[in-house]
Amino acid sequence: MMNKNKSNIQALITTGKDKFYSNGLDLEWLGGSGAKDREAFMSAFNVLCVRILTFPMPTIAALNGHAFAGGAMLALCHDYRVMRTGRGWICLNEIDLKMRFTRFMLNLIQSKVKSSIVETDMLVMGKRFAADDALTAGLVTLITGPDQLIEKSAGLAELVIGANGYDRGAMKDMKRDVYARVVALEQMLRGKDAAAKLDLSDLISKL
Amino acid sequence: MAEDFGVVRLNFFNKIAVIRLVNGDNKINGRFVQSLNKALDSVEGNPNIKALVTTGEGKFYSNGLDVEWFSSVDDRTYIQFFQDLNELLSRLLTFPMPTVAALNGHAFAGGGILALCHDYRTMRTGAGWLCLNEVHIKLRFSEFIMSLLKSKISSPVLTEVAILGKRFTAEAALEAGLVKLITGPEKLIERSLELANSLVGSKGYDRVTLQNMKKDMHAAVLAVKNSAIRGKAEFEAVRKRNASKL
Repeated sequence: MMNKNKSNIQALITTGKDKFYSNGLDLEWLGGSGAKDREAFMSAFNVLCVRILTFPMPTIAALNGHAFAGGAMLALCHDYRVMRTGRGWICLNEIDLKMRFTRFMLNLIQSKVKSSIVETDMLVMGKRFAADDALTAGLVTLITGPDQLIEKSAGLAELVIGANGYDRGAMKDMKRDVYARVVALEQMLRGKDAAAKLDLSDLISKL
Repeated sequence: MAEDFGVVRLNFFNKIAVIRLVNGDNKINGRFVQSLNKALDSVEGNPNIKALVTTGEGKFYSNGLDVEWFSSVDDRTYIQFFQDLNELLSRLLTFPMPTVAALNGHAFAGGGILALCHDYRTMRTGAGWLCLNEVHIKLRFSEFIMSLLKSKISSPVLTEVAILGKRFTAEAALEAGLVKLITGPEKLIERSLELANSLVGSKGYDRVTLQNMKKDMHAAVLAVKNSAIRGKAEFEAVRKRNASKL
């Protein structure tokens, strides 16, 4: 069913199917790809993260199941997360896979996870957060039984939109301001704007 | 099995190493840094050890830097001490296994900073404060320490901790997110070991990987580890100036 008038859309909910929201980056596929393809993909992934992070309307990730590693990162890019109880973890398990985070990923995660203890739990220890732990840690806003996940997410969206919703331009600008470091880092890594690279040199040394 | 490094003692409880600071109020001076490094060498050198707990004795975890001592040494020793201290703090910050500081009592100033270099802090209730009281004794934080504090403490709490030099009881520290767990004094080591064991799980963490993860997370702090150390004369001048303003 196509909604012809797209400007009626005032919020976005993303969700997965069955056991997984997302199991993270396709390491098998990445491993089988050439270096240039890998680089292009990582760049595209960063761009996608920033796009969601600065999406011009409220965003909610409805975690129907596991959100591991890159999948958890995608979920963190949203304004809010709602999670089902009873099954599924949100978890950055890179440490268990003996992997490291890129500077971009660290900046992204740290811009969203403000508690030092939760940051240590998540990043350094690779802790698995079930719904109630995630709620206590402030990683999700709301938890609910699986059959009510979409309903409750939609309810949260309605609450956030309120009576008037938000001007898209204003919301996009606000998010870009709030997440300025992450946005700047992505631009720098993409190497798009030579002038931007020079202006960012101060920012780079502090990142 | 225990190892004695003078001001510091090391015990092993199965896969967990416990370093006890056993020198009264455990002021941090050249000898302290040397002894703690030796104990850490012993922990790192034992491949069976999967986590580290540090704790103090009696009323103090640590009462911070031994100001009397470093005011009395020559300039070269002074500068060397602060370089060695930054190295020690960086070493703890990126220690290749989970670390827990079990606050049995006061953690003042440098003692608080030492505790903050661990992954987690546990704290006993009923006595003792976690407090960076530098502002009250008219001292400043170096660029390195300031970067460390910013990396470890969230913004609203940082104001209370650093700018206002607030004294945090166990309950306040828990609420502020400065400690992970609080408990009665008799249970402190038990609960800290429990926490350490729960982090280790059945497999523990690959040491190199964990160290790299911590290095990545605190990259900005490590980058300023060698930032200029204020000379002893400048330090004395600042203190004299402030003393004369009273």
